[in-house]
Amino acid sequence: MKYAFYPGCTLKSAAGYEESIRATLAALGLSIPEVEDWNCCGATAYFSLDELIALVLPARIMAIAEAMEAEIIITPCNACYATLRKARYILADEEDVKDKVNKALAEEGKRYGGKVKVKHLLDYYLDPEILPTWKEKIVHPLESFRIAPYYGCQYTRPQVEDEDHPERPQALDRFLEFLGCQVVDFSSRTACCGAAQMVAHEEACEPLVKRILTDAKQKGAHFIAAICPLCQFNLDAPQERLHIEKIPVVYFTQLLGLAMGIGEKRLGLSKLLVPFKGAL
Amino acid sequence: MARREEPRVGVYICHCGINISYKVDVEEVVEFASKLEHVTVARDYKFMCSNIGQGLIIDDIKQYNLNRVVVASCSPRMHEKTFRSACKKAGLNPYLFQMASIRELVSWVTEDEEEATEKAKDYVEAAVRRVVHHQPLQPRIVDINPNVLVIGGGIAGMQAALEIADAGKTAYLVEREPSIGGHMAKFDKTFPTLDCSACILTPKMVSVGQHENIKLYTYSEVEEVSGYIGNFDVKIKRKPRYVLEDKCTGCSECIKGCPVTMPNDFECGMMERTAIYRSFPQAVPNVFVIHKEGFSPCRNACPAGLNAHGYVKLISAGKFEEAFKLIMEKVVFPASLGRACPAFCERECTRDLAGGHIQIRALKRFVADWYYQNIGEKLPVEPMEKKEDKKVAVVGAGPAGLACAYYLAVQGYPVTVFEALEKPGGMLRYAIPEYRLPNSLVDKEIEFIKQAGVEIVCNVPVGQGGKSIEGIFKEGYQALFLAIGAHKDRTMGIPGEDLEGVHTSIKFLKRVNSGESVKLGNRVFVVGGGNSAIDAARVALRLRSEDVTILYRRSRVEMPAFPEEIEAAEAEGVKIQILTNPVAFHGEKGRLKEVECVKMELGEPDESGRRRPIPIEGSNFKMTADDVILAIGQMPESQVLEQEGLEINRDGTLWVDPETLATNREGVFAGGDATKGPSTIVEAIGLGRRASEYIRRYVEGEELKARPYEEHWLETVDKEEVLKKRSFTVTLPTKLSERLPQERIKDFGEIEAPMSEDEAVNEGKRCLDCAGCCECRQCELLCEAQAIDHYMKEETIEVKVGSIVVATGFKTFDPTSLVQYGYKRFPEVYTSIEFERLNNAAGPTEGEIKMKDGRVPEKVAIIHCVGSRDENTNRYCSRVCCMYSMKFAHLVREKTGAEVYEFYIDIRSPGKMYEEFYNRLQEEGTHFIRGKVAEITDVALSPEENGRLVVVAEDTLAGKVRRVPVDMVILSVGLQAAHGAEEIAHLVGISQDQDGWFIELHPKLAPVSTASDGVFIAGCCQGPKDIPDTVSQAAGAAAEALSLIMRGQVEVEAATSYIDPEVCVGCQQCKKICMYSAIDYDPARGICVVNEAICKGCGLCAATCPNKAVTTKHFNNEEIFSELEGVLL
Repeated sequence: MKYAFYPGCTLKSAAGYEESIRATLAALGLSIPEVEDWNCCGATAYFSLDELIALVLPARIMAIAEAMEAEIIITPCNACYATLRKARYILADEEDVKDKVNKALAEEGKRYGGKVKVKHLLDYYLDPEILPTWKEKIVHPLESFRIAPYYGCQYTRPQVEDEDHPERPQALDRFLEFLGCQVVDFSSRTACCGAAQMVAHEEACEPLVKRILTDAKQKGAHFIAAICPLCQFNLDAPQERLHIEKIPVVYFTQLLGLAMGIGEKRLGLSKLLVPFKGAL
Repeated sequence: MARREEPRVGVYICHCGINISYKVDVEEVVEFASKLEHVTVARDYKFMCSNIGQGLIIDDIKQYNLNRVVVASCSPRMHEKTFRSACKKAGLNPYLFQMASIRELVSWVTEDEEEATEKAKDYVEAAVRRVVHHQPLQPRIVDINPNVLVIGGGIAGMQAALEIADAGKTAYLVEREPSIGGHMAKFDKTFPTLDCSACILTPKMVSVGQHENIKLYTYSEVEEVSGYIGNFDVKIKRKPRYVLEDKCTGCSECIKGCPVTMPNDFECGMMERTAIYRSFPQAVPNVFVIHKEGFSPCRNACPAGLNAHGYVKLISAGKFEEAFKLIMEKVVFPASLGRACPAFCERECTRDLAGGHIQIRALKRFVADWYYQNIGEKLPVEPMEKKEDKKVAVVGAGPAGLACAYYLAVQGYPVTVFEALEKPGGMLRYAIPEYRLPNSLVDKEIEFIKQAGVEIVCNVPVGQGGKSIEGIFKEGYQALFLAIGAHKDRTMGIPGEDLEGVHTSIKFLKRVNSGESVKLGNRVFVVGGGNSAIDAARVALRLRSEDVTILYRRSRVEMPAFPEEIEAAEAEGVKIQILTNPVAFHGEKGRLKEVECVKMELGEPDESGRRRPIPIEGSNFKMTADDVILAIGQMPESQVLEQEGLEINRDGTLWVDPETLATNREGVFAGGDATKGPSTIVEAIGLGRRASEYIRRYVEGEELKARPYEEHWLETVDKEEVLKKRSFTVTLPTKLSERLPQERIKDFGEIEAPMSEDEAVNEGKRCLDCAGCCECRQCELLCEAQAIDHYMKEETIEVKVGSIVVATGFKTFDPTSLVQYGYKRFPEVYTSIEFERLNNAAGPTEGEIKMKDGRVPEKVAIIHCVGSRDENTNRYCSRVCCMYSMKFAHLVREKTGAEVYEFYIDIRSPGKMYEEFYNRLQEEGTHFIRGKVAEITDVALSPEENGRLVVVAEDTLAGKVRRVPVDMVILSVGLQAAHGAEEIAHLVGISQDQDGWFIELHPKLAPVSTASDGVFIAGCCQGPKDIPDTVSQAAGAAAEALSLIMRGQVEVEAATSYIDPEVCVGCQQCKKICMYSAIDYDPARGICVVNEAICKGCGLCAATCPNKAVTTKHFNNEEIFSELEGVLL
């Protein structure tokens, strides 16, 4: 299978996500070429303004990946994942829209065919072919870690292909169990974190974040595991001012790195705002 | 087809009031029709179906001598019968009539008037062209069988059966559950009157059970229905109940002995029950039933057929003596097996998928040790009276020989065992090292076998130099069992095998086990990968050799030794060198010095399925060695027996019939390692017991193969299914304490410590009871009525009936898929049927409404429309949920005083006193919140919500989102077509709608009839409904069935299929496709023949026949093509 990696705009500023992705892939001897000259996917915001232009952005990303002969695009971000899948779904369904989009792409000499598929990084790690490569490299099972698996609201939505269950997805639970973690029954697993509204409407997002954090604490979790840079940031950053018991929010790749015996520094764990140390 | 007389057609166009004439220019159509070929007269009338209209046809037939009639009006479904009988009245065969639909197909669905008129003309022309080809057909008259089959023993089926029986007719009532009563038996109260469900139901159940005209078949299913209205042949499968209905008194003593626990289905899994059970105390018939799904995987995995499930459960109940007795039914040497058996059972144990297998072997050791310690040498069975004239000889006192001897002896046959060696026990004594099986224990178990009357004579070889087979028979023995084992070591045939220091494993182990002082050097190599290689290596360690290495020519995965043995050996310090094979032993002065080996690689798989080892050329290397033990296999010393005239296989084993174990010599049987090659103790014992049975048949003069060996055998249950059905928590097996490797290699003492009583009981309790009943047969001992028959078989009975009432009911919606409601995730979320049981005085809490932690709820939410009125699940309204939800609200308030919140979409309370009940609930203070619930969550946003379930819903009356914290949630689940409804529909030939409910003939005017003549439906199988409606329908269906019976005779369709014998080639494709089994193959003529009595005229066969030999009467090609031409040309 030929993959292409689409990092998305938020990865660079994410606290240790990129580091831990690089570190774990390198330790596994895997490398995924990055989509060349990629652009922002537009996320959810653009779709609510102008659907056609909103479609051109993800179509351009997919067109480049297709030109690289990639069969699957891997993305570590829920918003990118949802946007690319949504675009793929609409463009497969509406031929005339696809023609218009391709007209725009033609200015740059690009063309979107519709073949390339989209996969979340989490599902890449859980792929039957990839899973055994890291399962056997687990040297420190995280048996004492009690973790709340947080999927965010966009990982399973919209339901366009064979995504996990929209309300009770299980992929991250499985991933964490493979690492040896104790996974708590986390009711807020798909509750919305507020996404980009955190910038414009902080007061509306805070109750959402508070709900997710207190649920995890009440379930006795030491950590929340995140699979999306924006989710992680929204759950990690406001904890100081929410006056609640703090809980570190770590990336699933950081946990994988720990289980594989990769050093905390290389996994960027020190970048978390709520410190990772002392949670256990 | 030649016609005798010229067709004279009368055409009649109906106005249907203005229904047709407002679109169709009727006069123009009449004008058109009158000009068509063969039309003698064409007329129109306002209502053709009226008396006057019919009179027109009758008069014309007489006046114009018409021989064909066409009416263009509504549809055949509406009035074909009417016009056919008009023709008949005028003396015309009713099949010489054709109807054209110009209302449903034309006026009602065509906008343009001109188009409508043209279309009507086409249909009329089609009908005229068709009718001229019609043939007169004679409908057949058949007698009605007065018996009625009622399928389903819920309230609907019971009511229907009672009505029929009270009218003096016989009703066969078939129910698949062990008791009648259906869902109603589970309810606590009924709405809106709040009378007790059991109080009104049980008297009816008793009447059904006692009525002389009702033949009740519970725990039974209809398997096949053939025939037609008035004459159905029905096959009913009676599932084995394992309790005799005519003997069981319902005293319930039996359950006291049952060690099995299963989820109680009747209580929705909220309680447990024993494997022998009765659904509820008022069950009808009041007869117990044993839940037995097959054999447990452990049991069918045992080569000796030992009932592991049975003794594990008896141990869990503290019944150690009984457990020992059960073990001894199938095997001897239980204490030895408890130590040295490879335990095939444990590998199949379902518990392995839920924490780790049951320690079955260790439990056997525990119970055998316990018996010898506490009961001693008393046999668990009384040997039968001696049959002195039927003596049997056994050669070889190993596990196979002694097993055979024991089982013959307890049945009264005198047995003498001849053993060539000094002491009995065979490989148990000589090959299994002391640290795995102490010889003192072997002695004890042999003493035990002697108790049964087995005589053992040692130092008597058979064959060369010893007794001959002939001689043994001359001594008066009737039969002989050869179990000489496989004691001859194989050698490699390479240079240096005769050097001092090169040993063979069995000889080596024998010397050590006999107490001879054996000395080995420091560096020892053991050649081979089997169990005896491991034994030899571990014994070498215990003889103080420090460097012991196993040489094996393939890789580790191919090693035939058991993995746990290999692990134990490695833990003790044995090294394993794979892909290495000796090619020569080099010595000095006749004493071993070096082993020369060659490296191997693996090639293609050989006949054993393992990859063939191939030497790598030039890879030879030498290692210094003090001793080498060859453990590359053993074979029987069979050449002596070959001289006795016995047939020997190529591998040196004795030839036997695998079923009977008979050799080629009359009266001589053989088994164990002698026939199988080196195997396991448990296999040897299994073969010994098998031989005992066939020898018994032989000496009793029975035909050996007349019956199977073990007559009682059931299929293994599916492990995945077991895990799905049982509720369990993952638990780890009891850890067996072992001596540390560095300690245990210092002597020959046992490695594993025995289990304590408590440990054994608790380990037994981990058993998941895969098969249901474990067949420990404790219930048999307790049943004074002797009503239990564990060997009962499924039975099929056949009955003849004239009509069928289907009343198969419903199932409730399973809300697990609606994860937002947290069912099965949050313990305090119940379905309505679970709540019925919770509220029932006979239920798990004896009618107290309390939470699983024992607290009484202070706030309860009831969620309506779960699985109803929902695009994602079922779109329809389930009709009963609003009313029962309000019943719940009332009962909760009455019993607990809790606040009750009803979350509803609309309240539907149509019915007598139903709306009044709703008003009463409102007055009682129940909170009605109009809004569909979004989720039920445990995420607390305020201190009040902490530790509670929060119901989140939009209150559409108040216009805001509410979060209501509660202690308990009841999901008012909807009704769905019953599980198995599809099969029933197929069996009786009725259809289901998109939701699975059975379709009635007419939604308003024929609500209990179906399109299948003589088949009626009643109750919820037709659609969700409450008890009053169900009972009314049941009575209605019974009345329909009785009305049919009273007619005595019925006309059946004449439009059947016909197969032209000249054209048919006998391919039988028509026979295969016929849903009514109406086609038979006549092998004499090599053609297919239609049974007109059964044929429904569906036409499938005619469409299927590749040779066009089949014609469906009234729908033949000429008729259909002419009709098409009328429309198209």
